[in-house]
Amino acid sequence: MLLLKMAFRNLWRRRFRTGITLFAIGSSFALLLFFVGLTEGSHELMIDLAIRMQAGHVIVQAPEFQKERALELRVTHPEKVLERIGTLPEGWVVTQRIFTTGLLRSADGSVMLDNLMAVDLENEKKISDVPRKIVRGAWLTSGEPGILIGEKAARLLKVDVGDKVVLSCSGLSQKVEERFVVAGVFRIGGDSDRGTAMIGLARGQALLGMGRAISQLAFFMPSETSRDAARMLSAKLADLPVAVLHWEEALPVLTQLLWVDDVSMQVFIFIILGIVAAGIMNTVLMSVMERTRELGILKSLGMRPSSIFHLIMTESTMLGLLAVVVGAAVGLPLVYYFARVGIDPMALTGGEVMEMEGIAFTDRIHPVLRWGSGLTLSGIIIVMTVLSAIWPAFRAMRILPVKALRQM
Amino acid sequence: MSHPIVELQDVHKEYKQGKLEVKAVNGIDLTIEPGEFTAICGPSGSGKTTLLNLIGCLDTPTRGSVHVDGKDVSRLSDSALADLRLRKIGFVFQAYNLVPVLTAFENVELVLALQGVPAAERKKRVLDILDEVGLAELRHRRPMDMSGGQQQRVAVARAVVANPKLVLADEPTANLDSHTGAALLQMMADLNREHQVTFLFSTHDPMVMDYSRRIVRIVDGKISSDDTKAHGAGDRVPAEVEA
Ligand SMILES: Nc1ncnc2c1ncn2[C@@H]1O[C@H](COP(=O)(O)OP(=O)(O)OP(=O)(O)O)[C@@H](O)[C@H]1O
Ligand SMILES: [Mg+2]
Repeated sequence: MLLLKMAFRNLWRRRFRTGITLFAIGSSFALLLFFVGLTEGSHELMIDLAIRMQAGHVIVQAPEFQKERALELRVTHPEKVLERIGTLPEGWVVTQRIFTTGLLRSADGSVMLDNLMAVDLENEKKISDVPRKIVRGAWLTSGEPGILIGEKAARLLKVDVGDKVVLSCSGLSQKVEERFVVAGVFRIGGDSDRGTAMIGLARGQALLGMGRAISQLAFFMPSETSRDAARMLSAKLADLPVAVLHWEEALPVLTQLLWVDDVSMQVFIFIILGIVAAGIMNTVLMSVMERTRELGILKSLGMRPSSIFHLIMTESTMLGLLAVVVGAAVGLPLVYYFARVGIDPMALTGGEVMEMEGIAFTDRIHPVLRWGSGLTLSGIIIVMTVLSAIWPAFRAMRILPVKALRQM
Repeated sequence: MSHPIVELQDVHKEYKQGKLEVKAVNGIDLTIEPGEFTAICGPSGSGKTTLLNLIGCLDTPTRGSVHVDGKDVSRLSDSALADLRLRKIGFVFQAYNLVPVLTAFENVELVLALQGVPAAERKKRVLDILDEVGLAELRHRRPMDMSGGQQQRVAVARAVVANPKLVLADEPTANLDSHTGAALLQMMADLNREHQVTFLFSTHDPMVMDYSRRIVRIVDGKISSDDTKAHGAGDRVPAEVEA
């Protein structure tokens, strides 16, 4: 008890110095909280967008489709897949898609579509990002020959909602061409606004001569259950000629990028922590050195070396705990604030639109701080503070009273 | 009967300062019996502090043996020495003795806490001894809010609170004016008489010598004389106390 009291009061002997140290550790902690939150938030956003546009939490498609997005690499009987799965679990959505390419023409120009999608209108609407991002017109209605195109494509073709365009592409067995009416114009950002277009699934199947075949069944579910879901679907569909892919396998470039980003975040954390550790070690060492005589007296009174070690370690543990409190007091509101208002990704990239796998990330990023990450970071800060005090505490323990007492 | 508290046999202590060898203590035999009130005096650099540190198990001799309370201290580990100091020896240094972040009460309490004495008993014993040194009122003050003399009183209280066999005081009056110094010495003389606390001083203060009953003079690390008187200046006769 008395030792704790001593340790606590020792911390406040040099208010200014302790304050500065607290500020340094605390603000590093706050910065890390924010940074980790931002990274996690942007990852979630990327994953979410990529999954919605290009895949699903889990996708089912022809085995080679992942390698080559060819029309003939198709799932010929999607209804069999659905039948095998049975009733979808609560909270799941499944949508069917055809992915292909094509050329869109108007009287005034033409646009290459590198991502022409024929989608299940009802289900795609539930999960897609496009409905939210339609700037003119509306989502497709079944039975009508509608097409959704991007803003840039509309500009190049000089068409708008209600205008006619001609879509030509390679069907399963022959080249095909058909007239469509622009039903809506979307703005997702980046190249998607030129090369992406959507038509209804039934119309697409007819146009391309696919029968009931599709390119992909995309399943959506609460993301934390997606791995289990992938395993479950793999098991159920084992004897069908389809591949079941978790999004991490389906979007390898994204997965890779997230991994690189995670690693660079860890390196950044490591560097910050290293700087902080050096600062703490210096502070604690100074506080030990200037107390040489006092520590010598404590030793001559009969305080054991191990207790001296303890005293210094207790002081720095308190410092670490306090710093975490201070850091959390600054960092959490910061994260919370930006989690609410979001951050414009353009502000982070310097005005450029970040694009990956044909998806532009233009939505505001909302930092996400999970309990786990916050607690882990706090733990790391405290452990690091304690570790950096080991050497000074060791020095304190080894102080020789005879020498210490000669200092006045 | 009782064995001596301190027994030094042919003790040497040499320090190397670069190429120079300083013989700080150069062959000392000394025995301190329970209840003594003894001063070691000598000129500056004669080895007083070194001798006290050897007796106080803060330092080890290069040659010779040191027995404290019958135990040969050269064989003990650092922790064991710490324990020995904690239980058998009290220290008073020249100045800045106290832990600045602790109050007078807590400074004294610290020794008992280190010994593992329960809190309730600690409180009683600390209050008793602070009362005895006349500082009960100031018990909540930190050292920096006390005068040098008051601080030294607290240091003495801390040195004796655990009933040690021996209290070592290295020039306890050096930083005090003569009046305050005399009061401190009187207080220690009272503790010596009433509680049989054994005191060993190092000093060049003539007043400390007046108060001491035995005076050991050392020069160049050797004992040059060892005189015992019947009374010290602090040994009041009952009549004086009443007056
Ligand atoms: N740690 C040390 N290293 C080197 N020399 C030392 C050390 N400690 C003491 N000495 C030397 O040993 C000699 C005796 O020193 P000591 O401090 O014991 O003398 P002292 O009688 O206490 O002197 P003073 O009255 O000035 O306090 C001196 O010459 C001193 O310089
Ligand atoms: Mg000395």
